[in-house]
Amino acid sequence: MSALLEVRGLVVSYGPVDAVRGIDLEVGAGETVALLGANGAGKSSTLRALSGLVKARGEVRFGGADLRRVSPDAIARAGLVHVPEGRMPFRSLTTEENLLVGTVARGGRTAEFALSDVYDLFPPLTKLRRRGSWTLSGGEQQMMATGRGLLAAPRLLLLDEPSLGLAPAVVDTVYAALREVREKISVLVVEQNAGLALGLCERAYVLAAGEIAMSGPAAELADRESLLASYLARESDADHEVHQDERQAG
Amino acid sequence: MGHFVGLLASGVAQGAIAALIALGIVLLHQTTGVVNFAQGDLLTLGAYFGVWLVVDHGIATIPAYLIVVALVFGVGVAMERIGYAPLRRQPILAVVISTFALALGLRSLIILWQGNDQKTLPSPFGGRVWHFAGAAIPYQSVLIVAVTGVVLAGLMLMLHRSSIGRQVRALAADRETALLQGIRVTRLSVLMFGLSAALAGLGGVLVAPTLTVSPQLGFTLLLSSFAATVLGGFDRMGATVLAAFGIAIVQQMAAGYVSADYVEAYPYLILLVALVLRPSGLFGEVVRVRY
Ligand SMILES: Nc1ncnc2c1ncn2[C@@H]1O[C@H](COP(=O)(O)OP(=O)(O)OP(=O)(O)O)[C@@H](O)[C@H]1O
Ligand SMILES: [Mg+2]
Repeated sequence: MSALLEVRGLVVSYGPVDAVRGIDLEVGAGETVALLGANGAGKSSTLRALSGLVKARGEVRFGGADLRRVSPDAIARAGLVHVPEGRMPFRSLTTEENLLVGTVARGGRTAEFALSDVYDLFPPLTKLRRRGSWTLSGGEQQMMATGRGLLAAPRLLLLDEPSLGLAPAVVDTVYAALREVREKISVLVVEQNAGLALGLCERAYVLAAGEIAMSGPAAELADRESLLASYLARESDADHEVHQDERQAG
Repeated sequence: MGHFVGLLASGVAQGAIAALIALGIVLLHQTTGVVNFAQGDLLTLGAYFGVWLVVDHGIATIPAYLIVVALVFGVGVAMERIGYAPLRRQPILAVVISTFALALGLRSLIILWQGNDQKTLPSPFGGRVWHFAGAAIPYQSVLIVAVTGVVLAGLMLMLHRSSIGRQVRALAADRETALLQGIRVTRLSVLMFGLSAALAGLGGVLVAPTLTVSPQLGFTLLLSSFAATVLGGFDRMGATVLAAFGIAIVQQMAAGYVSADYVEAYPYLILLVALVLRPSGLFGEVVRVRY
């Protein structure tokens, strides 16, 4: 039986720099998988390659179909839906309009989560439906972006750092919702916060400097705490922080 | 009083035409990043299509206007195929330059087809005027304002109440995330080229009866529409429409009360003064609050 998502030898390069250096990765139907790694490990690059936003080498198969040369919008409509890092609200649209844009990618699939289900999943959004999304807090934006992704009836939901920059209470809300989502939809979640992600997922990969450094069942990885911590901390040294800042500024 | 009302009325009518052109420019720029310099020549084309249908073929006004809009929509789509689609991976400047080339090409084709002579497109109302507050306002001006009003309202409804409109606004807000949400960006770009061309074509066939039709018609009108898009900050549609009306009204007042000799220079004077006073565009503050 082949997995829902199969990645073989994925390489992402930015000019001479390889951000992802030939990784293999699988997500089975119904599975919840984490992709962990420090700043700059190549997590976002991996997701952006899967959703077609950046050129990549290697093989990506989704539901058996080859995704090379498929445009990002067609990939989304095929059910591989990416909730990007930084949530990326459509700022000039209201909260509800943002959510409704999610339905565009649905194709012929029936959504596990309809609009009302998204409001049930994220109660704070109910009062914000008519508010411009540019006025939402980071947590509210994360809820909105996740809801927008769910309304696309994903077969596999890609989440890039859903807990990034959120207060603990808001992280709890988001992860409580993800535990419900996981029951119905396959999920690949990128996180720096290993504890959170391992609590949610069945399996995990650890990415370090563009390569898979560890992988296995979440419980096993959680037991090898010190090794995991060393990978997650390794690249966030001062030298790398500077590099990240440059990228943000540019 | 009559003089003032007359100037105001002609300013509002001119403003409506400028608003149609400017909205096309803003809509296209927001969704594709392209500033279409052929927008003025698409207006000229609309005027000539009007002459061709109404004068040469005796087609009734309403069907003729509708055919013009459809034809110019088609030309806009063709422009996307010729001038934008092949350059999609090139810097946006290449596309903007290609719209310049397309504008010149379009103008040459118009001259080849219709010659350089001036033509006239009769108004469906003939020369009839509406006497209002001491002024004689041509019915064609009333038609211009009414049609523009309906089209603007329809456009706003489309953008804010339909799924396709939401997709257009989402694309304008964030192209990459629009792709991640499965929006058919390529198809929408084609639609936007067609729509913005159709707006210019409609402007052309509406304004033609109040002026003479020549190959340079659109170019002169384009310049004051550009002033409006700049004042509108190139992104706010409502602000752009207001600016278009404001510029045209001031232009007409200046022509009537100061001197008609500089009528084509007034939009630039207004633009210049406004930009010196408010470098971020007239409505810059609003933009800063919203984004
Ligand atoms: N557009 C780009 N151009 C050049 N280099 C890039 C670009 N995007 C990412 N990189 C580089 O690729 C490497 C991996 O970046 P990536 O964003 O994939 O990391 P990440 O694991 O998502 O990090 P973070 O946790 O900070 O989001 C980094 O060294 C980064 O500087
Ligand atoms: Mg990242």
